[in-house]
Amino acid sequence: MGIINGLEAWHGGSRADGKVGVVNVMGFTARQEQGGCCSGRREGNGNLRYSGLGHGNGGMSMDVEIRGIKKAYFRKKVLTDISFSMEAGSCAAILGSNGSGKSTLLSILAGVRKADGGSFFYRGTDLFRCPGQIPKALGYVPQGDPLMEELNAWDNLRMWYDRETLKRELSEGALKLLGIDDFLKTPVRRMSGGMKKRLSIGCAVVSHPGILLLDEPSAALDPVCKENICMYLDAYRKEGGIVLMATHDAQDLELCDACYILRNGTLHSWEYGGDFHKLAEAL
Amino acid sequence: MAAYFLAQLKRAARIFPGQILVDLAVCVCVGALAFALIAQGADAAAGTRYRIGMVGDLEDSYLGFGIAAVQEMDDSRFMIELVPMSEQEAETAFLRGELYAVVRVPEDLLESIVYGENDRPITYTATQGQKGLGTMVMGEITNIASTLVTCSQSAIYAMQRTLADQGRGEEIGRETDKLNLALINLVLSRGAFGEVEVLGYGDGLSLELYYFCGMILLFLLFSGLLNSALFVHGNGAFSCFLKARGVGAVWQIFGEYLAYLLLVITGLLVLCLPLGFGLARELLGIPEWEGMGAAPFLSFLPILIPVTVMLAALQFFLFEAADGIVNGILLQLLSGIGMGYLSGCFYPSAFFPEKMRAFGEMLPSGAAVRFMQAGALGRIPAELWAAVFGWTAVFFILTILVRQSRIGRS
Repeated sequence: MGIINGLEAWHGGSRADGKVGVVNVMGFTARQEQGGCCSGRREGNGNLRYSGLGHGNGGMSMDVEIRGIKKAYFRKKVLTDISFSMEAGSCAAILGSNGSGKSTLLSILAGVRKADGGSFFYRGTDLFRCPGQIPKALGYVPQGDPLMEELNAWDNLRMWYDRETLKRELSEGALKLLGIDDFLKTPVRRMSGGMKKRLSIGCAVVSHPGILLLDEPSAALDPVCKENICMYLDAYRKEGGIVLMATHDAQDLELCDACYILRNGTLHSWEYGGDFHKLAEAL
Repeated sequence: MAAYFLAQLKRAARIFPGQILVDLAVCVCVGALAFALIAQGADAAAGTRYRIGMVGDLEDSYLGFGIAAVQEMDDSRFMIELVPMSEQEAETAFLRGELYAVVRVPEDLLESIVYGENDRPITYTATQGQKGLGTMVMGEITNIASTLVTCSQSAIYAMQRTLADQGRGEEIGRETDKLNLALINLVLSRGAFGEVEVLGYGDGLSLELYYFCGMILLFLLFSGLLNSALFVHGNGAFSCFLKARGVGAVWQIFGEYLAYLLLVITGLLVLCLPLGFGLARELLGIPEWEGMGAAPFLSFLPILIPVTVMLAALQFFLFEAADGIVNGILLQLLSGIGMGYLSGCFYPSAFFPEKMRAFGEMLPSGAAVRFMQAGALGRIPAELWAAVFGWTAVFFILTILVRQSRIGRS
């Protein structure tokens, strides 16, 4: 089941010919094509393409190679020899029970914490050795919303975007796709969980990163909000972006090409197959 | 970092109007309370005298004259009230706590003195609870009086013997009176023996200026409570996000601290407006600044900046170290009260035991109040500058360490 099928399920469906349709779920118009592609603009050759998704490397190969990441808190080993790789345009999920180390792994990759060992290559550069490159290379959305509650969406975004770029992104870029323009003047404290999550992603993609790390992006969100975010992520990866998320959500898993289960500090490849009950057994 | 600082400033600006109202309300309440307490204290001080009951043989005219002289002529009349009464009345009043002490004059006391026998001692009775400065002073006075009496007796008897030996017996009466008058003059003019200089509290400050500094310190200590809204909703996710975006713990702390400091300074300036007005109108009655309007206060204001920087860093650290906003507020409250007390904001620290006073001076609040007091007198020694900046640096380092640890744990 593709992402668009999910959309139709929630919105009753609007695709007339089974190939191209238009849905409006986040305050912006997104086109959909066979296979679940979402787009904001049709190109001259008839292909659909998202404009200004952020990473700006549409079609470019962006490989991630993670090797031997280790982390221990005192004597307790949280991560043991974590290794996997991802290709440009791919999406992977890391599953695991609470406390298994998913958030730790993502925060290590985001440069928030230091690993005890290992490497994180992105397009040939070991980001652990060049931590200054991390903010440019990846966007990180932690589990809590990294927003200032007293400020509105505009003010939160202005922390990261200069005025002109922000206006441009809101009118035709990733922020438009996220539908942030609809609640630009709303204080964060009055926002719904979905709005906050979209705004958080909007803040994270300021540097047009090639990798997006999300820690439980759908947690505590209603199905429509989840769908909005999935749409954006789908578009993001179709532009060549790499998405790595920690999640428990079946809807998120539908977006992913690969799933890994983190258990006892080690990563195991796992086939989802659409059966969520299998996940509970696997964990 | 600049963008983060500006965002924090926006947060502070959103919070500011509400905080100013709270600041003003607190200032009005504290000011009214302080005014009432000072007025009450002044009235009580003006009306309080030690009542000492005089019992026994008070019939002698010389003794009566002496008591009347003390009550009417001597400066001690403002502090001591001598009340002649019967033994029974004195005992009842003493047991009720209406008398500070009872002085019992034995029969024929003056005869005993006149004849040089000195075998009828005066008894001074006080309770165990009053075994303090008053009792000690009374003991000293008794010793002095006793010495004066015996010495003057010796002088008079020696003079009388000398005159008798020289065959000048007719002059004895006149010379004795002259010598007695000379001795009385000597006793009554004892104020010229030495000069008493009242330095006041805290290295020479008047009580009013001492408490003025103390009140400003208390306001600064509690400004963390007033501005706690700035720390509400702070979450670990935001710190992690900032770190991932390349804004490390050091710059996070600086950005947040600067906004907080501006909020505290603005609150302080709001407090200073009524204070400046009161001083300009001579309503506050600070002796050191009397008749000078608000000018000394305006030159005192810059002295508050380093102190505010240090105490804001302390509050920032406390909020950072506490787990949650409620714990942070409780920590602010307890530390504010504790440090305010130990540093002499509620009672002059001169009343405290030596070790306690030394401990209070070592605390950040102690350094702050000494800095302000020294600044009010126009001389701030280098060690106080070092203490204020040293504490500020310590709080910054601790806050950064806590933030780093928090980022690592969240």
